[in-house]
Amino acid sequence: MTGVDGQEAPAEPERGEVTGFHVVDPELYARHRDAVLALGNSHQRNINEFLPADRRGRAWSDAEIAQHLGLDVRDVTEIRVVAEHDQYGIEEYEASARFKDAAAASYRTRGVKGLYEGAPPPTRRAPD
Amino acid sequence: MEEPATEVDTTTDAIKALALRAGAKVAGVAAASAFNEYVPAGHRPTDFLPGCRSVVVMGAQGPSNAAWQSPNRRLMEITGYDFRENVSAMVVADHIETEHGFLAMPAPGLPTSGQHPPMSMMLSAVLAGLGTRSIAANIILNPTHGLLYYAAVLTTMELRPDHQLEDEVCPARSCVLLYEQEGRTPCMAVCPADDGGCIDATIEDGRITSSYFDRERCSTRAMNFGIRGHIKQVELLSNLADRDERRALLRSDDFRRNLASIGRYKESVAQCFECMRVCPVGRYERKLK
Amino acid sequence: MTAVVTNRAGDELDPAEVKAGLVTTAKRRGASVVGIGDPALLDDQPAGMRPHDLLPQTRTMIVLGGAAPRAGEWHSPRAEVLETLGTADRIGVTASAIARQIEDDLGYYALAVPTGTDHGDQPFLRFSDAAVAAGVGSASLAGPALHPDHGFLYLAVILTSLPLEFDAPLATPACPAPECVERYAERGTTPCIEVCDIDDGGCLGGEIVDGLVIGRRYDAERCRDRVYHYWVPGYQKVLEAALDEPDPARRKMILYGSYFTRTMWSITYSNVSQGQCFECVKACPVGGDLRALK
Repeated sequence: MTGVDGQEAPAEPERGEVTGFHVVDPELYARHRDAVLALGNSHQRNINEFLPADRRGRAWSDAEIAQHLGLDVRDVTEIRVVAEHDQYGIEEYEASARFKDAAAASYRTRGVKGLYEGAPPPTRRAPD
Repeated sequence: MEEPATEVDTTTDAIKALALRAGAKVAGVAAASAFNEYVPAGHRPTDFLPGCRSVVVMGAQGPSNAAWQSPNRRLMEITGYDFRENVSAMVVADHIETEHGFLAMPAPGLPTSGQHPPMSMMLSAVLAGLGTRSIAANIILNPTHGLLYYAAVLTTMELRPDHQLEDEVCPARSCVLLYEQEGRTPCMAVCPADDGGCIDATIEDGRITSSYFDRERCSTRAMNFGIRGHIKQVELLSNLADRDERRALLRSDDFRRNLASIGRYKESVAQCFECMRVCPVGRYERKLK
Repeated sequence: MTAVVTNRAGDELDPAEVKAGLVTTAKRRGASVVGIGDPALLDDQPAGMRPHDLLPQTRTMIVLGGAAPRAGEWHSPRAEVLETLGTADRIGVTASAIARQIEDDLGYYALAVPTGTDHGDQPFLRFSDAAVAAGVGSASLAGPALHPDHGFLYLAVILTSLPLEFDAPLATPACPAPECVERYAERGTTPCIEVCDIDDGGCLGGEIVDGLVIGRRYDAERCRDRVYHYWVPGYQKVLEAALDEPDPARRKMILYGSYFTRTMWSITYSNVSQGQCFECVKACPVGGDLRALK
């Protein structure tokens, strides 16, 4: 059975989590973070099932990424999970709240039309 | 013991009817083998239940129709889930084991590795013909109801499988027209990936030809308060040497809200509906008196 | 003298019919077994954990057993399945409903004992001992009270001032099962000890002599760390590790890592993901017939 990039698929099926508590080395994380993120499910490109098979993508499993990058699968899992949290800082959570306030208000007052009016977009407002 | 084909049909229909009586809005069946094309080993039904032949999938409403009407968006975010699809899954699994004598279990859908669940309920819904994947955050849209939440039951019982829908639910006709005029659908307009949002796509001849979804940014919105915010705040706390600064953070409303959300997270795991708010699919189903 | 039972209006009722009705209702609501226990059998429990400490008017204990993992879940080779689906608070919901029915329809006090723990991580009442008293199960080497037919069940207890005829404790204990007596005679071990041997990094030990378990050994702390692998105790441990870590970059790896995240999901979904080790019960033959499905 072949994996995502045509290589032989990992021998063992991937577990959701191989071990309980494993801490990845911060330097290893920094070195491989972008590569793991690109192959994982954080940025989902063309995963629609209607797309033809030659256009459709899917995320790689941790085992597949580990095999591809030559890493321990536990390190890949930790790199991926840390990177998921690390993609955006705590400020993005505040920005998200403002976005939702603006989007909900825009729809309530002007419906879908409000999305296509003005600049900057009415659904996002700068902090007060 | 193999059941005759006609009994399989009758049994399948009865199980779907049970799923609906137990609280689901829609129910379908996917063949276990159908997952193999879409997910890697380790995330397929047979990985969790050896000998699994069928996956019964049930979908239920998230926020109530009234919640969509509320001017207070936090209200919908806090009470967005009533988990009827999970109740339906448990009822169906119990029924299959006690009445039919086949192994059955609710599919494991809770995240066990960061954001990853062991098995995808969204893919289950697609393969059971309950909806198709949309531009809006890759949400599975049911043609009638739009946004639904899904659960599934894995079973060794042979049931008549449904198949993926032949027609894509997304993009809706009105969205195709807007895309042709404005270059964006409503969901892309409210949350554009190239301007601080999460969604992007291309449409040609009324069909999605490419799509992009920034799941991690979406997570900051859909999981605005809860586990992820708490983790960030604990990190901040652990880096603060000044006692007053620590106290200020610990006593902040955001710290309290994150912890409160953790306590009530079951009802509140979905905290952004803005792409769905502007989506036309299922909107008229939500209009009541 | 048989106690008189009345409804809320004061009409006299047949106590046997009242008992049968409550048992039927509980089973219809999801209980697999129901037993009526004599609260006096728990008088030797520690102070504060006796039925009369919780409800002074207690005359009867109603013990419900049910909501165990399904056969499919026991068969899964993936630990994540039972870790995220194995706990069930559904039996607690049934107990609350029965308690409310007793109070509303019959006018007697009825208290569904909370299923969680409190001070010192101690329960309000030892449900396993209540189950033994009510004939719903018997003590086991592995720890949980086992019903002879159903094996492992989740338990709930209702204390009530309603007088009902007691069921007796089981005459024959479910543990050790005949298969386990045989295995112990051949190999000096039982299935649960084999999978979790206290002398080999596990939690259980004991002997079987003349068909009875004697000299049970149990490492409660190790078991707790396995059962609550990702729940509050897991959270406490990983938070401690994070706060003890002097390097901020490494601290971030801990806080953002999979274990910390997982403990939070488990806490959030405590109703299904609080108990996370079932290996001794998985190996147990009691109730195994009910798990042998197609």
